[in-house]
Amino acid sequence: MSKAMELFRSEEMQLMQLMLPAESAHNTVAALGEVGLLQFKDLNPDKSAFQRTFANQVKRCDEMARKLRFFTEQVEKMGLLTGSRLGSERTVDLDELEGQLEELERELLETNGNAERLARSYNELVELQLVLERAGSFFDETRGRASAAAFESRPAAPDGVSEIGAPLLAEAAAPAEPKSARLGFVAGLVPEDKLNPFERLLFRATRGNMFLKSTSVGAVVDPGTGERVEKAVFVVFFAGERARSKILKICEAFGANRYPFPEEPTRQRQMNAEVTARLRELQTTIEAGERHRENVLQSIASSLEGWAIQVKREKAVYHTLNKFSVDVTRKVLVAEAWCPVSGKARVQSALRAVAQATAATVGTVFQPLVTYEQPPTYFATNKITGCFQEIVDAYGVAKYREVNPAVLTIVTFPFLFAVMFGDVGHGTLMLLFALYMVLSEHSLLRQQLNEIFEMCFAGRYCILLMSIFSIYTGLIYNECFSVPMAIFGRGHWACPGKPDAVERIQMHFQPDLCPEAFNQGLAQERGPYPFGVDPTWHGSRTELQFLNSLKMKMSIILGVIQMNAGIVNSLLNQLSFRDSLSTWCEFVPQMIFLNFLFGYLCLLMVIKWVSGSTADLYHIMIYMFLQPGEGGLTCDGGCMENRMFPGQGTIQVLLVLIALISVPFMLLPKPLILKERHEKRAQQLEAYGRVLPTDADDEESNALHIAAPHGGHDDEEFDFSEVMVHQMIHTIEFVLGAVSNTASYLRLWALSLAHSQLSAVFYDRVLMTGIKYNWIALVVAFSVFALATLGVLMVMETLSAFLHALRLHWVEYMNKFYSGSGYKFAPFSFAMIDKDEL
Amino acid sequence: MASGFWGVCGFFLALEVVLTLGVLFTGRKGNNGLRHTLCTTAVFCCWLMWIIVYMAQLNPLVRPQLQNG
Repeated sequence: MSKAMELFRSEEMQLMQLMLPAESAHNTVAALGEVGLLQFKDLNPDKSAFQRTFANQVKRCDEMARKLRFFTEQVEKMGLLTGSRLGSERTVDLDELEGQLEELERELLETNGNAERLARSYNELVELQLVLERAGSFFDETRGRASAAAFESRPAAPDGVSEIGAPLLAEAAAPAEPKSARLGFVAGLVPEDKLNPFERLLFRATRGNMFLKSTSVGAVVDPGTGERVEKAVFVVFFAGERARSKILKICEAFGANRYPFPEEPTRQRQMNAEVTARLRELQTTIEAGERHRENVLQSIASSLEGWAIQVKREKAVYHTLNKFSVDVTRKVLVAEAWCPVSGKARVQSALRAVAQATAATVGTVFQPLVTYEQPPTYFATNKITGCFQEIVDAYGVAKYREVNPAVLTIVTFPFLFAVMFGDVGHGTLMLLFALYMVLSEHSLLRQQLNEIFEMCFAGRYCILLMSIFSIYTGLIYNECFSVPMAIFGRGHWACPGKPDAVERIQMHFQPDLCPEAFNQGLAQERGPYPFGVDPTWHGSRTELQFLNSLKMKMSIILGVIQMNAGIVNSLLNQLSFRDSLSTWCEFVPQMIFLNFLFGYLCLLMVIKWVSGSTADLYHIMIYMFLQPGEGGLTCDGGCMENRMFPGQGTIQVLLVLIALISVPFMLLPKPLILKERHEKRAQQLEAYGRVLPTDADDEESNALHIAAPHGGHDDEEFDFSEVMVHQMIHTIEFVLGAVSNTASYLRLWALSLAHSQLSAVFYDRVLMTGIKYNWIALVVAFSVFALATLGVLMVMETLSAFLHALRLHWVEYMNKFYSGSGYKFAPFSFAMIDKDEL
Repeated sequence: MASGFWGVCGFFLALEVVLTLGVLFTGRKGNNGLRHTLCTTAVFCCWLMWIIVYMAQLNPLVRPQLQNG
């Protein structure tokens, strides 16, 4: 039993105890992480994360991870490539790395701060320069007009206010208020889109006592936010100190940056020159800073990945160490871990290597523990079996050492999919897609794929098998994009009485050649078509009648066989868990019930096919219950065509009787026997005193105890009503399930019908219609056909056939034997940790 | 008729033999149980589907009728 097929049962596990000397504990755990075969149990579940022994180290690792995330962000912002991992370079120890990271972070933050400050003042200067230029040009141009106007209006305004703003307000304010206070002005930049509301608000706030002049300057980097914004230079003129404070507040609210603006043109020019000089200076400083920053980031980028892996691993090591219980003397750490028996040797050699390397005086103790706990479930899958195991695990993880449904699923899943998806053409398209993924697997593995493609890629071998089976079932259905192929010769049907007249096209165009072909139909002249469905059926009036009957019967036969396989799996479980009670009280009656009713139905189908009987199977099955015996086989008119073989009536009575008797047999004996066993044990315990099985019990049969829930040792409370109810549910589920699950397999027929009808519609109605007209219609028709084939058949139909195959496995097949109550083996493994996010 | 039936059956049998030998000679040393199971199941599924379709056409109760028009 121990040498069972791989994957058929989960790996044998053992709970191991490790005693690690404190000084080499860290290195030992790191070495075990490389091996990746131990799942450590948390021995301090009651302690919070802060109370644990190595909480401080975990915190340090978290801090380092934060720094690394910051570096990654910075490096990505720069658009630098992170260097290839320096995988095995472990010369830097954690403290050193921590110091290094600290130093680098400080340096980077400082550089960033400097760069930000410089950029800010640079942008401010740019804006100031703009203001100087643009606002200066307002003044220049108005000054020109002002002198002209002053010259003209000298007699009208004898007081001769040569105020610089006056010409601007010449029409409105200046003449009316000659004694007004000096006009003030504010210059600056405001975002272009805020300009209108800005002006409106200024107008309201000053009751119209202002004048705003603005000009757009295009996109400018805002010094505050560092983003490029469309801006406009403005100069607003106003009168009075109160207006000024109002305007300043409004400027602030609108995010308008104000700049000092000297009135005199000479000072303006001087200032402009100063600004230009400082800008040039700043430019070089910024460039130097940027180069420095790039150098720092470049050096970080090259080792970022290596550091990230190291930090992730360190953190995982300390997390694992936190699960250990610390001895009072603090010299030894005690750990418990699940280990696959097959991997024990590797763990031991890793432990020896660490002991040698650290030259520890005492090595790590690695010894098995006795436990009644259920071990984790571990299947050693590879890239092909992995995705099928995932399909099964999505339903529930197998109980420890339970029969693994994934084994048969590897074939039956793609096969049932293909029964629904059978078409050579569509299968070939799918095969190409699967081959692309399988053949370029290495390059695709290294790429970051999008989510949907990632999912397809994970199931690439499943898709490959699905496509191969689809091509096979397509050959059986004789359909390639719904067109029949005559690979195995011409159809075997010919005109009745004229065995040579087989050309259907000829018969179509010369109806008088074979008039029988249109009413009674053709006759099969040369026995059945050797492989698959005869191509003659395609497009005939009776095609669906024939195919539906065939596919329905096929679905039932496939279903009954798969369900039988499921029940046989339950037998294998019972045998390996030494549960003969369940074998007699569950397996045997279940087999009898299913096969005496639905197995018999399958047998009748085969007899009907082989003998050519015209019996009505519905009638037979229904009257098997309503009127058992020969009477049920006669139809209303007293005909005897439902009798398919002699003694059928008697046999059917027996079948129904035995099947019905097997129902209470499933229900009653098991709980009663369990009750009796329990009582007997209770009596024994009374007689001998309480001798409980202790840990000193035989160690070899340890695995057996765990695996046998109904076996020997369940000395926990026995609740008869609970067991009875459980058994009742189980029985009802099976009996009703036998009927409903058999019917459920008809989905194979339904989906297969839908698939072939859809593809026939696309082919006949779209492509063939296009061919009748000119080439443009053909191109259009072909593209519609191609799109429909891809979108509806290749994507949606694939998905629905996949889901239905999934359901048939999860429900109809697996509920016959699978408990799925285990938990997955999650070893402490660096290979896994390296893939995690930092 | 019979020749076609036994021919295809023989083909499946030969396929099974070839796959079994293939697993024996190309597989790793030791445990090849899974591979044998998978090959056998696959061949059985294919054979089953073929024989169902074959039997259904042995004594067909409906006959193909051409569509007029």
